[in-house]
Order: sequence, then structure tokens, then C-alpha cells
Amino acid sequence: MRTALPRLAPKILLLVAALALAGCPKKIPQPEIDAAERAMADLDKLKDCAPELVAAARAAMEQAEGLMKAEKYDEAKAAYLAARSLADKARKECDEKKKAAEEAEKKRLAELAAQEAARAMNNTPAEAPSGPAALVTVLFDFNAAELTDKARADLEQNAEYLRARPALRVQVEGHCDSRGSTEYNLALGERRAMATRQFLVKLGVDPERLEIISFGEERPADPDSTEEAFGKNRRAEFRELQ
Amino acid sequence: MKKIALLGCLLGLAWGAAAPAQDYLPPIDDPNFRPYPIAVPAFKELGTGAAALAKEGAEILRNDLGIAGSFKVLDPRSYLADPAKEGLTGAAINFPDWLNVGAEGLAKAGVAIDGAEVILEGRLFDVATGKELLQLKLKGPKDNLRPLVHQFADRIVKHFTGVRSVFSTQIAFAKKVKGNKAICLMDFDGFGERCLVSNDSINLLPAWSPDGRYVYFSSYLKGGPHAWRVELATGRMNQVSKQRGLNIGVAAAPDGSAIAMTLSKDDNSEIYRMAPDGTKVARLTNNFAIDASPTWSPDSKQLAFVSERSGNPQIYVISAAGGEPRRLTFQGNYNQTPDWSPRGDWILFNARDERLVYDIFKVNPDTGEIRRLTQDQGNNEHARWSPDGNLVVFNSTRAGESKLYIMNADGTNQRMISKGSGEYTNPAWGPWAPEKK
Repeated sequence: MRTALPRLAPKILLLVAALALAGCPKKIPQPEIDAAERAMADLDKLKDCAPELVAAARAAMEQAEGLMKAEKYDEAKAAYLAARSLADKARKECDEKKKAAEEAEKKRLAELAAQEAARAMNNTPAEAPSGPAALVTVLFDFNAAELTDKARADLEQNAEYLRARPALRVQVEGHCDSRGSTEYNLALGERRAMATRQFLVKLGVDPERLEIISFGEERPADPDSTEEAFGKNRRAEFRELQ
Repeated sequence: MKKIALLGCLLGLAWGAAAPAQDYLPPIDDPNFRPYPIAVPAFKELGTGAAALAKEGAEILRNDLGIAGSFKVLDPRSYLADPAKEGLTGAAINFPDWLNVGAEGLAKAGVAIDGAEVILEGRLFDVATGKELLQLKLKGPKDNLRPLVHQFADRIVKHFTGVRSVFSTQIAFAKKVKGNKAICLMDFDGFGERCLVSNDSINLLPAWSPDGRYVYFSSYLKGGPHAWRVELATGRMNQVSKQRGLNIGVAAAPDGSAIAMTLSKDDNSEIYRMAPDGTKVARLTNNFAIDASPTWSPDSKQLAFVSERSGNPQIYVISAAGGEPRRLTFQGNYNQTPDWSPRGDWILFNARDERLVYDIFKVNPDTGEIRRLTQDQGNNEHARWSPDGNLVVFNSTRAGESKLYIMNADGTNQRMISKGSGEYTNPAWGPWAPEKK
């Protein structure tokens, strides 16, 4: 076997070289694939604000992948370019919507703060705490530290509770569900606590009264591994200090 | 047609590579690798009182060689020779009996009790030639045969592969105890579990100093969480970093010059480099997104870490001096927990796939090539390399509660190593002890 090799080797090498030259795929539109995949990477986050563009981008991507399988590289390249462009448009649309929402929110908060200031000026007598009876826990979406509409409404209640008790200091605890890494969840939990504190401050609560801590996935409200439990665990909780 | 052409490309590559000298078995990830068939009969009781130890010893050795990945330990039920009768020396062994069960190697040992000591006499033979390849005699306390067998296994592996095995290494991990978490240790095979840090607090994310002297961890003991370290020899603990906010996920540079961790003192999770005692803090990343989970390259010149600056968590690489990071992973939208191989060729990480299941993958830091290591067996997370880069330890929920498992670097040979009840997470494989002269 070993002695036969030297005689065969040149022929095999020739054959290999010929096959390699003839058949190694060349026309794969790699830059377009990479660019499309990068543009598609965060598409999940855009599907609520630009659902049509996201769906169109996904369809183009699927089509492109199908064309790749059929080795129709030129057509695939066009489809990848289309997917990328659609994803970019979706991102732009979301950015614009977000900006508009932020402006409106800013305006509303300014009005609230003005009302609060006016109330303080009028020196409204400190009556027995009325309004909400306790601080409520606010919930978050998966891998998100942005406050939902429900969370904002809950925090407005909490701000009212805190305004009625000016001496009270609280710890804002950020928590996550058990999915994902220990470290990332500690960072995400802290972001949730920070977003919560920031919003309360905007509503006029003194930042000195709000301490934050992240427990990541270490202190679940519900230890089960169901979607329902995960939903309860992605939260910012309040602990009254003193 | 396309397949043939691709084959042509591959053949062309293989032809160009020079064949290595064949003194040792090829590494597990080599295309020419084939597990080496070895027989490990029950150890022989020399004298009296060592019957139980003789039985236990062979089981430890078979388990070690099985985990090593380079060997196929033949089923003892198939052996033709009677281990109680056959001798330990070449002249007393009927090699055709071993050849006929498919063995190429034969590891034999005898165990004797001498007062308070146990003596292990081990020999390794090449079955085809009957040649003795290795002979050793080890002594230790009577109630602790395990480390002696690990040493024998280590010598066998070194004989065939030329590299040190991991049989004498330890794994640190976090274990849930009454709602809190303790930092504990086990031998590489899951035996000898004991806890280093157990208080009424949450202790997390153990990581070794490269000399094996300290285990770093993050703890809520005094709020924070802060970064601490415990000295293994004394159990003494001290705070390494107690900045405002998070002080988590310590990774020690392999050259011992520095540690890296995630701090949020500047109001956002960023990666910082500092001296091993927590002084001389330098910020490496600067981005509004979460940056976390640093891991060092083997030359201590670069770090891989997780960042969600693209909108979702991905793996990035940055110089240990700071600067602009380079994105490494582009597939998937939830990639976390990198660990850079001591050989430098792969970075382990965790990904959430399209079915929302967490699995372990590895990515080549130069080419970005990705390989999947686990699939369809619960959630698999927090993968860490063994010091030789041959094995991987990780936690998995495949049997319900999170337990520790090890596998070969290519994802084969997965087995549970943790023995106890309760939740095991955050494994970290310790370094080799300094080699005995």
C-alpha cells in the first residue's frame, strides 16, 4: 500500500486540483449575507413598532436562504440586499416612533412635576397618608429594562405612596427570570432597578430616598420554570428601609 | 456534483498538511483519532484486608480513563482471564487472553494494606508484544486510595498522549443551600465535595487564581454584590472590590498579572481590569449597553466578553489594554458566558436557540466558525474549560434540577459528575497543582 502511493500521488493531486478549481463555490454573496444577518440581528425588538416591515424583511431573508440552497447566488444576493434594506427601514420607523413617544412622555412628566411643585408651594398640610396602601411590584418583558405602560402606571401609584411618606427610604430591587447567564442577569436586574428609580425621580421623588440593588436570578418570586413564573420574576420590587 | 467538488477542496487541504511524528495517540479532535482500547481488570488483593479497596480502585481507574476521552475502556464482563488468579508481572500474564477481547493496552494493579498505609502497585502493558510500558509503586493513608489511583491514571495518560491529565484537579461551583448559595469544591470526577464559603448569604460565580491559591467569588455578604476571594489553604476571606453597585464575574489573567470583572460604579455595567488584589482599577469598555462576563486569552493580551451594544447579547473581543472591541458572534440573538480555551483555539459560549432552549457552543476567535456541543437535553449553561483544554464542565437541567456535567471538547462523552442533591451551578475548573518532582 505504502509503495503504491508515490506512483498514484501525482495523479490524485492533479485530480484534486482540477476538482478544486472547477468546483469550489465562488459566487456566494458573503458580504451581502453578513450585512443582512447583522441588520436582522435585533429584529425581534422591532416587531411591535414596525410589524409590517419586520415581516417583509423576514420573508425576504427566507427567500434569500431558499435561493442559496438552490445555488441561485445572484438572485439570493438581491434578496439579501432587500432584507437588509427592509430591516434598516424597520429600525428607522421604530426610532422615529420612539422619539415621538419620548417627547410626549417628557411633556406629561413636566406637567406632573409642575403640579407637584405647585402642591408643595401651597404647602398642602401633611394629612394622614391616603392613596395607595403599599408599594407595588412592577413587571418587565423578557430581556428588557424598559418600563411598560403598566409599569409606568404602577410607578405613578408608588410615587404617590412615597410622596405621602416623605421620610420613608426604600430599596429598589431588580430581579430576572432564571433564563440566561448569572452575570448578564445581575446586570439586567440592575438596569431594571435603575430604570425604576429614574422614573420615580422624574415623578418628583428625591433620589436620596431610593437605594438600588440587583439580585439577578437569585431571588425568584416564583421558583417554577413556567412562562407564568418567569413573568412574575422579571420585576422591580420595593423594600422599605428602617 | 457540489459534494464532490467540496470533497476535492478538503482532500487538497489534507494532502498539503505534513504528517506528524506518531509517538503519541493523536488528540481527540484530530481526524485520525480513534479511542485506544484498554483493559482494566479488577485490582489484585495482595495479602489480606484489601479486597474492598481492590474493587474500588479498578472502578476509579476505569472512570478516569473513560473521562480522559482518549481511551475505550473495555467492559470487564468480557475479560477471559481471572483477575484474582492472573499475576501482575509480564511473565505471569497470558497476553492472548487480552488480545482476544480486543485490548491493545492492559493496566493492572495490586493493592496491599501495610499498617495505616495502603500500597498501590501499578503496571501497564502493550498487549501485542507483552512489553511492560510502565511500572510504579505508590503509598498513602489507608482510607484514601483515590488520589493514588488518580496518579496511576495520570501516568497512563501521559504515557500515551504526552500531556498531563486533569485527574488531580478540582472544580469549584455554587451550590444552593437553604435559599442561599455556597461556594464549594469537588474533585474533577465529582467526588470529595466540600464547601469553602458557606454563610447566610448568596455567594456566586467562583473563579480560580492561576496558581490555584485563591478562589474569587461574588457575594452579598456585605451588600453589593462585592468581589471577594478565599485562600484555599487557610479559608481566609477578603473583599477584593467593593465599589458601589455590581462587582461580579471575576476572571484572572493566566499570567497572574491582573484580574478582570464587571463593575457598575459608573452607572452602567462595564468591564474593568485591575491588579489581583483589586487595586489599580482601569476601565476597558465604554458603552451605554450591558458589558459583562470577561474571559482572558491564554497569552493574557485579550479578553472576550458579552455585550448587548448591537441590541442583544453577543460575544466581543477587546485588547487587555482597552480600545475598540471586535464583534465575534453574528448568529443567534442571545449569546453569553464566554470562556477562552487555554489552547487559544476556541471560545466556549452559551446561546439561546430558536426554540428558546439554552445550549453550549464554541466559536473560533480568529475565523468566527461556530460548532454546537449540546442539543436536546434540557438547558445547558456556564461552560468552562479544563486546564488542558480537552474537557468542558457545565451545568445542565437535563435531569430536572441543575447539575454539573463534563464532556469532551467536541461535545461527545457527556456525563453527570455532581453526586449530591440540590442545585449546582457556575462551575469553574481549577488549575493543575504544581507538578511534583
